[in-house]
Amino acid sequence: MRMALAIIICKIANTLSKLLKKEGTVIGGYWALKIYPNVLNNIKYPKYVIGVTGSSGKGSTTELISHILNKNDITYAYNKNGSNAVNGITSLILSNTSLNGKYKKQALLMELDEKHMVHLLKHFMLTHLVITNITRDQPPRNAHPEYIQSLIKSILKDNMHLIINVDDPLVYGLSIDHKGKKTYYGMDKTNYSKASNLHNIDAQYCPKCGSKLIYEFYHYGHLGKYKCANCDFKRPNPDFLAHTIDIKNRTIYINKDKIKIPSSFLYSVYFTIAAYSLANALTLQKDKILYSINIEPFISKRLNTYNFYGRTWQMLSSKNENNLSYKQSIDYILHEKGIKTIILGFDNSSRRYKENDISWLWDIDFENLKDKSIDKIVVIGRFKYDVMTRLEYAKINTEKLILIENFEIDIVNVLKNKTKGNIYSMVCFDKENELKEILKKEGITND
Amino acid sequence: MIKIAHLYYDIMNLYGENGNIRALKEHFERQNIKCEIHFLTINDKIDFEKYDIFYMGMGTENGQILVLNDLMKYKKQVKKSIEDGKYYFMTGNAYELFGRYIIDFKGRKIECLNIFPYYTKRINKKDFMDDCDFRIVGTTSGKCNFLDKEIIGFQNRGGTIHESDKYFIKINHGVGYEPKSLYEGYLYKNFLGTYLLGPLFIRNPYLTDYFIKKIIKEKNSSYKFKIFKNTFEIKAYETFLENFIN
Repeated sequence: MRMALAIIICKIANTLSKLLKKEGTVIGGYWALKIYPNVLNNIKYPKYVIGVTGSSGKGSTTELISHILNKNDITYAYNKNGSNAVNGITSLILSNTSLNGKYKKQALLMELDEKHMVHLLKHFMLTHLVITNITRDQPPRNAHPEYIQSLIKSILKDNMHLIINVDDPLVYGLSIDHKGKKTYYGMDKTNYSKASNLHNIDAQYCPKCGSKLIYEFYHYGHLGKYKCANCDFKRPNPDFLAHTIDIKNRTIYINKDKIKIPSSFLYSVYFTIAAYSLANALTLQKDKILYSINIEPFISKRLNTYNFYGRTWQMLSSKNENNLSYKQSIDYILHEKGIKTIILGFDNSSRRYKENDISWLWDIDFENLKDKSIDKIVVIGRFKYDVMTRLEYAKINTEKLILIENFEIDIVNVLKNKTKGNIYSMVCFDKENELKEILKKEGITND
Repeated sequence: MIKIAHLYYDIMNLYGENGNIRALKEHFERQNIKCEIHFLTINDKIDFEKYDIFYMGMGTENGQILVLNDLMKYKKQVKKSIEDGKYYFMTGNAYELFGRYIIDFKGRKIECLNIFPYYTKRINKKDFMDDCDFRIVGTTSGKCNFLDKEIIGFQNRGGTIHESDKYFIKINHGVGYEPKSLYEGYLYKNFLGTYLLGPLFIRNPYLTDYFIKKIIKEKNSSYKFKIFKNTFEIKAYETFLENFIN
């Protein structure tokens, strides 16, 4: 009875919220849990309950898995909007459950917040868990990578099938004592592989014996091919290895199969191989998996391109407080052809909380922007002087730096008159929305 | 020539702490003083006579203990060099290591260098699963007694300090040794310990110049110190005060 009531309330609250033009994906879960806190314990779950977590890449990985499930005629629900905390997931589950408590589809697919899932998974079990990486991300909320690793460890159960990125020693470390099924994925060396010069690599010491890990190569951050100098801890051979990686032409091989990747970002190799590995773990037919990735188009949502008075403007959303998110935007820009203008800056470190830590600026390899293809770097936002300081310390020629005091008034003129080449904004979501508004006023959209 | 040892640079560098070393180098070089940085870590031989400045930043709880095990080998040398007036800048949980001991999550006592009388208690794990309640997180600012400029910074730590007999700043914003304390950090001779993490010397250019000047003057009392106004660091510092502190 309470179950039925919770489900009905969830659906009504979500519908009302949508009618009020709100998101309608979280509020239902909130009310359902108020009525029946253990509602999730009493659902009859489907054969596949899939979680995807990690510091970054979980959204894209979940999207691609969704695409593969869809093309393989498996019915499923997933948190498309990215509501990945307790209320959002509750709402997702109850919206797809009959009043008698039976989940109605063949699979439940969830992008899971690496921190909130600890609370969520007290109520039900996953059959499969994909772990993408554990890196520096939002420290005021997440403390540090080893803390997140300890949280994920606390929810692992031996009857879960782990699909894990073994290039990350923190992720691989989670699986060492795991007695259940494991599928390992990883990436071979690419022409992006380069160590940071900032001495800020996490997990440099062996989790088993405390000796320093030796890396054959780094992809980014602490992801790469590592081994302990002292004991047997090393990056194992992946079951699914991405190799012969051609980022420009967007092709890779996974073992013997040629696979298309959806964008020219290194991270798209990771989410493709993660989704591919999960699809194999679900024992989907290989030709169908390949068909769904290679033949049916899949468009990643992160790339936004505009035409700014004859120049291409790409918006590369970069997540604040996540140095590797910025690094991947920088790597992408450096591998693009032609003269470039970059826009950098932010008003707040976070959208989630009011704390404004700025230490993460010093963990980003801005030194790599000392490149002759970069014409100008335009600095905007409330922390513009902090960003300028950082760029100055990166020894970027000061003639290349343009500081904009009144962003709303001056940005268009500055870009038009003082910069050349294609434009790459690598700002966080809030600033990106403002840039879109400014472009809209100029009559520029990407429709 | 100034020699700086960045101690345990590859472990105690969790929140952009590399910025501190770079700030020191940059500020010395602005005064035309050459500056050499040596990056040292576990199993390296550390000569505590050789350097003018020792710097260490923040690490994870596990990383900190790895470092402690190595640093304990040098207990006597560290103590002597602090007494001799060498400069120690220890930010984040690095400064916990110079106290008597750390009480860990399970209540175990981990012996530290025992140079200063304070000890550290890791905030208990019972609140571990709630949104970072087990850590003290947030913007912090306060006044020290040797500089007429507010010190600004950020904290993100899993420990509290007890029985400290000295301090670095009196808190105006945020918390000190523990949530009820109005004092933060430790200052003894040229040892500066503080929970303020990350690029403290980037964010506090006046503090940086205070120390740079002091160090240079000790070596050459007739040195004419150059003042740099309106640097981006200063503007960033003042903007932060305006937006978040005042």
